[in-house]
Parts: sequence; structure tokens; C-alpha cells
Amino acid sequence: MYILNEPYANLRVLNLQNSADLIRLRFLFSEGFEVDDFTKLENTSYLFGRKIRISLAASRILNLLALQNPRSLGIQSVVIESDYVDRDSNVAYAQLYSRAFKDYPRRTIRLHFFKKQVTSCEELLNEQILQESYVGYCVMSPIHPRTIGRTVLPPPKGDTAWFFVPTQSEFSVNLAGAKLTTEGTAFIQQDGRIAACASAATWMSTIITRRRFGFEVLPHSMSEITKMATKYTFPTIWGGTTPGLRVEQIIWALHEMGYEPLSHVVKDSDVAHELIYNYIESGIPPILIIRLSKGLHAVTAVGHTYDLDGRRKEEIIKGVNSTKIWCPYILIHDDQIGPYLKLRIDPQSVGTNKGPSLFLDETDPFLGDRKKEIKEWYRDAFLLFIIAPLPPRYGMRPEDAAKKGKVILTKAYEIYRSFLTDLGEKMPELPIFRCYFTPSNDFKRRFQPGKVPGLSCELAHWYRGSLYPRYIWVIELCSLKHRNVKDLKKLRIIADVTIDPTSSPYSLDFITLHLPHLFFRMLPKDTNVINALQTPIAFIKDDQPYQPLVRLEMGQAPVIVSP
Amino acid sequence: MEELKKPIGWPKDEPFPTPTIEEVEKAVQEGEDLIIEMTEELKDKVSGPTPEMLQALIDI
Repeated sequence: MYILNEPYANLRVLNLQNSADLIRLRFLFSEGFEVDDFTKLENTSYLFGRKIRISLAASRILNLLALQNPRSLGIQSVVIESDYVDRDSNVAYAQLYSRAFKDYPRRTIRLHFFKKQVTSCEELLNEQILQESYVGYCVMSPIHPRTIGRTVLPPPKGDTAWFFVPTQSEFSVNLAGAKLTTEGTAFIQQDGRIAACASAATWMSTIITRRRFGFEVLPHSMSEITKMATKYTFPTIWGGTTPGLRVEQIIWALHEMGYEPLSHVVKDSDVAHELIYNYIESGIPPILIIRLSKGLHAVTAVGHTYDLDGRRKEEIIKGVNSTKIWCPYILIHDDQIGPYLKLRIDPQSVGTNKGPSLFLDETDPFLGDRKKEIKEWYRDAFLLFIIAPLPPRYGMRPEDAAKKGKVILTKAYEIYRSFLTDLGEKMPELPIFRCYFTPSNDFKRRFQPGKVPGLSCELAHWYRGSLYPRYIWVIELCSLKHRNVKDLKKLRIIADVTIDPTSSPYSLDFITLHLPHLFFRMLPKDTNVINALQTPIAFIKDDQPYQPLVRLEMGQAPVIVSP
Repeated sequence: MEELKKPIGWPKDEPFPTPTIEEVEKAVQEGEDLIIEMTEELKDKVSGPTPEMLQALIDI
């Protein structure tokens, strides 16, 4: 462990190639470590051989950081920042811990992870060098037993599949005057006293959604979420011992925070998978209420895997003609188990009237030596509800947007069948759709002919010149040929429609509609969908399939291991 | 198909094969019926929470 020069009294550096520093890191993550124990890190006789207890969540974070695993985040050094004032911990302290008999510390420890060695304080002055190897951070809450506070890490690499985390966002920190940024999703663990899993899952979902959409709502700490959730219920509802929340209270909390909470009770695994996929593709991490053998639990879905293997016709029909079938696992943050766990959604067990079954990917290399406990945690798990925080007043449900978009595309193809046939175009025999919610400015911004392969310059102008509300639902159409590709850069779409999220889910109105060579649009004053479909606004001669929204910069490519 | 307003970019000297209003009306009506049908099919697969479900305590 490096102790930096005197001016940096609150900083220490761990070199993870050094076994003693690995022990120190484990000690920092242990449940028994107290913030006041900071000086004990230097006392090797105190640390070595000491039995420590590490929570499952802390263990998973350590596995994600591990240097030895090629799929891990490959952390080489950790800068320990003591006496850090964390907002979430501070609010919890003000609300509960400052009034406790036990003297709880107010300040926390924050760990910064780097892919390269930090060897001297000189490097702290070079923001660019620090930024190049900066991976993320983790706050250790000051209470005892220790829990993991606000943690931002990027996803690890998959073995055969891509890890896509469209919900990720940019988080910035200041370390000794250097402003550093990282791309990732936020994770937090409940303290079990002021917040339980429901508040933690709500925190993880909204802290990300707020950043992703730039909502004009304040960030809320877990304790503030619990307070808002229980504002309209009897104080005794907690039963005196648990800060658990009811589904109704989670919905109240989201409403109080300024979101439009959409909730779904799901019975069918394909529909559940589709809804979760729609939200993830929209950059909105849905809260999943799941039944475990111990009781009801809440987790947050933040991403999905993407498998490049080709899919067969039968699989596509069974998967409701959605691109989700290339995404077999969802990635979740479980405050009790850790970040980026892989879960598969399967049909419910025969003869039961539960919900879709949830299966943990047991080949996940980051389960480490706690695999047995984690397997037991998810034994017989099934999904009950999905709750998603959307922007206020944008209450169109993804299933309604998808139905509406699919029908508009199908009927528009029917109306122009002979015209399209003359141009050598037709509705694919096996149409495949993707549906997502997005800020319209993000949607328009991506129409850059030089940067989007296949995109016609004229089509780009029509999209860029169209009027949209602040948020829209987008439904894309592609064929099997354009989806069964081994290179993600070769994905193509042939048509799409954009829908106003405040419109009726039962009408066929749209904002823009693109079929091969034809572009339609409905302006705010246009109310007649028949006229709009009868008169395309533009004929685009050089139109061809073009690349859909592929967030390669947000994905982690699989590790290719040579045979 | 009858000739109505031509889309921008369509050759000026060629008639654009605009679909008839009846064809479009029929397709729109069928589409709206199809949405209702799809909504019915989804009813057993996904729904809003019942009052009992809203009271489920999540506390692990």
C-alpha cells in the first residue's frame, strides 16, 4: 500500500498485484470493517490471517474487479479516499443514525478503480492519464455491519455473448481536484434499517433513468425514497422492524418523485421478456418484483446479453417476432447479490399459476466461490411484477406502442403492396420488430448519412426535418436476413414508425412512417390518418436498408478465446 | 390506384399510383380491429396489478 505524500492525507493506493494489498481490499469490503478502522489497514499483523466475512454483493464486486479473470474489469490499482461525504449516507445519517445511541460515523470511504498502476502523487496532477485508466468507484457506507453504498461500474465482458447495457450513463467524480468520468450503471445495497431491497431497487432504477433522460427531478437517496413511499400509509405498516415496501408504496414513491410509474402483472414469459427488453432498450431500468423461497424481493434490470448465433424461424415465431430472442439473458442489479447478474426468463412451471420462472446463469464466472449460496437464493424464483419509471404524462405502455406500431407497418405495407412489388420490395415473410422509447432529439441526432451505413442522405433530411414531441416510441422492422448476422455492424432495418406516447393506443395515427422508398408524416394539426397514409410526403429513390440504433459503445464484446 | 398529390421526389411526368380512399379506409378499419383483437389476446398474459397484489410486501 502506498501512502501518498502528506498533502494527500486522506488518500492511500492499493496495488492489486501485491497479495497483501488484495487482503487489504478484501478487508475494506468486509462486513466487519468500520470506517474508524482506517489505520488498521497499515497494521499487517492485525490483518493477516484474520477471518473476515464478506457479503455476497461485496464478493461479486471483488470478483468483477479481479485481475486474474480475463473477462473482469481488470483493475490494477485502487485509490482509497477516506473522509468522503456521500450524499446518500449523509441523508440516512441525518434521518436515523445521528439519533442512535451508538456513535455512527458520518463520513464514508470511497474506492476508485484504475486499470493501470497509480504509483505516485504526481499522477494525481495529470487528469488525462488518470482518466485513461479510470474504471469506476464504490462508496463504503459508514454504518456497521458494512454495506455497499453508491457504486458505479461498467459491465464485465461475456464469454460468448455481448453484454449490452443501454441504461448506462456518465457519472463524474472529483479525486484530489481531478475531474474523472465513468460510463456505467449505479448499484447500491440496502442497510436493512432505513431501506430494504425495494428502496434500493427503486434508487438504482431512478438514479439511472434521471440521468439517461435528463429529467428535471432531483436525485433521491434510499431513505428519501422510503420516506416518500410511506408518506400516505400508517407508520405501523413497517411492523416496527422492517423498512420493506408494498408494491403500492413503490408506485407512490415513483409518483412523488415525478415519474409516470407503469406497472405490469405478467403471466407469460415471452411477454415478460419482451416488456423488460423494451424498457432496457429504452434506457429505462425496470424494477422487477420477484418471488424467492424466502419471500418477495425487488431487483433492477439494467441490460441484456446479445447472442450472435443465428435464430430459426420457429424460435422467431415463438418469440413474438421480436429482436429480444437474440438476447437470452437480462442483466440485473440485485442489492443482496451484486451487480450484473445474468437471469433467463422461462415459462412458468407446468401446473402452477405463478409467474414466469427466473433462472440464474450458473456458468457466470463472477459467481466465484459463493455460487452455491447464490444458486440457493434464486432457487424456484419467479417474476411477479414489472414497474418502470417513465417521464410524467407519457403513459403509453410498451405493449400498446408495439401493437400499434406493428399494425401501422403491416397495414401500410398492404396498402402499398403492388407499388412496392414493382420496386422489388415486400413485407418480409418473417417480420421482426424492435420497440423502444426515446427522447426524440436522440432519435433525430443519429440520422447522419456518413456515420450510419446504408442511410440515404435524403431520408436523413426527412427525419431531421420532422416535428416530434419530446419523447417518442419507435418500432423498427427488419427481416431475418438483416438480423441473422455475425457482425453487429451489419444489422439493418427496412422500415420504421414513430408514435406519439400521448396518443390513443387504439388508433393508427403516427408521427413519421418510413417504408422502403416512401416517407409519410403527420404534423401536429393532422388528424386524418387515412389522408396521411394515402399521400406519402416523399419518394426516396436511393433508399436501402440501413443500420438501426446499435449502441456498440455501450456494449462489452465477448472475450474470444482461441481453441 | 388513382392519381392524387404526388410525393416529393416522384418523377413529375409519371403518375403516382395513389391508393384509393376506399382501400386505405378498409386497411385502417382492419388495423384498428386488429389492435383490439391483439389487446384481447394479451389480456391473459399481462395486466395491471389487482388491489391484493398492490399490498404485497417486498422486504427481503
